[in-house]
Amino acid sequence: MAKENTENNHFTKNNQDEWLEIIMSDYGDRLKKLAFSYLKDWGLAQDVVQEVFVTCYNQYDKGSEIRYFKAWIYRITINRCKDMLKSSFLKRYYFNNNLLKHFINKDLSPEERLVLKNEKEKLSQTVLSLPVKYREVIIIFYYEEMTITEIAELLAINENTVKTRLNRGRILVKKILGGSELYGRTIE
Amino acid sequence: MEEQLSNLKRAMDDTVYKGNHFSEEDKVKIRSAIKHPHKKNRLEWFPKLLTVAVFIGCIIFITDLTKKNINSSDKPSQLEQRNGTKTEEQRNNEDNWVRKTAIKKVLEQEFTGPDEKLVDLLSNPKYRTVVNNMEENQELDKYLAEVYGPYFADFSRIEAFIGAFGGTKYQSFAYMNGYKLSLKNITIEQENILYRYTFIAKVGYQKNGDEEKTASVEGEVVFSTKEKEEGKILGFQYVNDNGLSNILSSNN
Repeated sequence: MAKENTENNHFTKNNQDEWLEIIMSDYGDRLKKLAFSYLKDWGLAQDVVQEVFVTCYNQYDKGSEIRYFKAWIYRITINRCKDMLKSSFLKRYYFNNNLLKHFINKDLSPEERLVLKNEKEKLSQTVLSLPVKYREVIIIFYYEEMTITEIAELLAINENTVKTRLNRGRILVKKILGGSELYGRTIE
Repeated sequence: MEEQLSNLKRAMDDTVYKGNHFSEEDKVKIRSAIKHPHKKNRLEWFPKLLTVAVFIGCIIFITDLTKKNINSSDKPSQLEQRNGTKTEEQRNNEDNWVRKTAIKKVLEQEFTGPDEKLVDLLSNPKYRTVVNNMEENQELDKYLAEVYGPYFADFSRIEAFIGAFGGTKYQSFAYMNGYKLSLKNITIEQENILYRYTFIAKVGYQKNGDEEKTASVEGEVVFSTKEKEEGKILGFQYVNDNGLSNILSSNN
């Protein structure tokens, strides 16, 4: 994906409040979905996005030092999500939610079962069910359509590590879905 | 299945990501959070508050527990009182103390004096009455019950002590021959059989302002094992007085 040449203009144009409105419109939905891919809860994703925009607002003065705004705002979103995942509170939250899901799934209606059989739903849920380190590279690569280099920079990991995780992520998806070939997009 | 992952974006947008998830309401919340920075996110304070509360609770619990342990190790008797139970060893110690006190009291009565009231009751015929051809001395019995009663299991034991095992004889001898008696020291030992005790009493005797002399009187005491008679004497006898009764009974 090509870099946005004008992305650092976010910090140079308009006053602080207008700028906040612009970045909320541009990134609000994308960041919330990104946060959801980590946290699997829209309420928690909203909390993260709110914190990210508050951080952006407070860092407005340092805007000129930020070269690539998209990479920067994605990075702080991802880091905040990972912080949340580490917290014991979230683990408890997940535990309770998973328990709840377990009971709810037992009583799925036939219509709901049909929906789950839907291929797109299956694929989405499969990707979301992956461990975080595979899930994030798969989603950023396939959904956000970033390059291996961009992902390596964003996640602060080696490019080869990104490739390895992508391959293992694919294998896991394949195993879960029971398919044989999943290579829709090449790495290089 | 080949194109599945390359279609991930479309698949997610059509399913889990379907629709716009960042509403105007979310924007209002963010603006409000920026305007009122003191309002912390619930996820920020809740786990911290919970952790602090649990931590403080643990500290209080541990402190309380430690205090209880220190108290219980320092004052076992208090713990017993709270629990209403006593250990075997503590029961034995208490019994031992009660029995030794009984021996001490009897020996004090025996070797302090002479007890003129006792001697008067013993020797003065005016206290004696005959009932059904049996001589009685109710005043004496009353006095004996008063001074020895608290330490003996029953009155028959006191009668046996006085009639057969030398009780009150030292008082009588001392009175008759003008000796003064004083108890200097008592050593009491518990035998292997827990309700049997031996004693050695160092008794001072003096006559006519002469220098006071001492003699060791040895004896043994048996206590009742019945619950109702706990700490009460069944038998009290002198075993060896090292010649004290001879000295006191002599006129010289």
